[in-house]
Amino acid sequence: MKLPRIRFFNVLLTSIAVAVGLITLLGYFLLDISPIFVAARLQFIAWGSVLAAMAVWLGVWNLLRVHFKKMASRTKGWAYSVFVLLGAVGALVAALLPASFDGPYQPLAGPYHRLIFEHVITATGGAIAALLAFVLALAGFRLLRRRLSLTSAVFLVTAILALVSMAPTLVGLPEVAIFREAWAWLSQVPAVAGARGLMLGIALGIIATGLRVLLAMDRPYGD
Amino acid sequence: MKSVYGEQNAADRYEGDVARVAALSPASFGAAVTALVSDEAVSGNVLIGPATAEAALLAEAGRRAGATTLAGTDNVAAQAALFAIAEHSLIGEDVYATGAYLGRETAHVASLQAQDFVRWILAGVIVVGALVATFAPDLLRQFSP
Repeated sequence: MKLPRIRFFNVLLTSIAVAVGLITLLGYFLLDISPIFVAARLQFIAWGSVLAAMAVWLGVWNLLRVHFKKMASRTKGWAYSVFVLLGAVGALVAALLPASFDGPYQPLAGPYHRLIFEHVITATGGAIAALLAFVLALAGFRLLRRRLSLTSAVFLVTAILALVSMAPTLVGLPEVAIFREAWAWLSQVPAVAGARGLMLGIALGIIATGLRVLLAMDRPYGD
Repeated sequence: MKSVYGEQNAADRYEGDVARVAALSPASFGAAVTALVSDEAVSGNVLIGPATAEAALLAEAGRRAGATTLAGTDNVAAQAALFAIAEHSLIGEDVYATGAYLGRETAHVASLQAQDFVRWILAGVIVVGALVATFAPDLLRQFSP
């Protein structure tokens, strides 16, 4: 029988990942028994934060590279890439500009990056959120046409009930209390029960996945 | 990604930019990938991760582009949105069972069975706890610190 070829580098990566995972986990369980594990856990988490910050920088570099290539090759949608690049450079300059040129230099102290957040990012985020509400309402109706089932019907009826009960009452029209009461019961009893059931399943899934990674059965960090 | 291309005998088609960061916040990610799906003729759309409700925009963009969309997240609110829009939605812990769906390896199937077993135990504990809290609340107080 031919044995599979084991690469030393993969064994090394797996060993490091399993050891770091186990030590970090033990750091949570042996709080009062072994301060070494607690110190190791905090150190590993600090290293993880630094690596995550480096990954964000790499991600930004990748984003700029992809959009620069798209712009240079004039592929479809390249005009949006110009906005991305201009936005990135503009945001960086705004963050680096000081509040005043007198006194010691302090990045992120100037008013410009706050202006970008307040007048560009918050405004466009709000526009996307509004679009999302419209997309979801439309999707609810489309769902009934595409997937005609009891679940879809319940989904749509609940969504309509939520919209009706949360909408402001028109001036001059009497308020229909039954919709609000029905929605209050639905959102506090069956919805919470269902959400807790889902959360329970998700928590079990996370534990099982974590254990598989700790036991090196899953190796998301290598081949 | 490079090793996956190699496994599928398509190593020559691998480019360094196939894996990319589209954006760094949920709203900007939704806006960026919505344009990407239509511009780059995407035929398959797999949305898996800690998505927020903005993932609904991506699933909708995939639907418009005619791409098959498989979506799953651990965010309950986003799950409801994706259930309505995505062709194939993963509910609850389905996201963590993709290994068993795709590979059917012993470890994955065994962990699914263990999850089901523990779920029944927890459901039993919840039902017994609810009954005790309803009919014999004094008994419960004896065990609480």
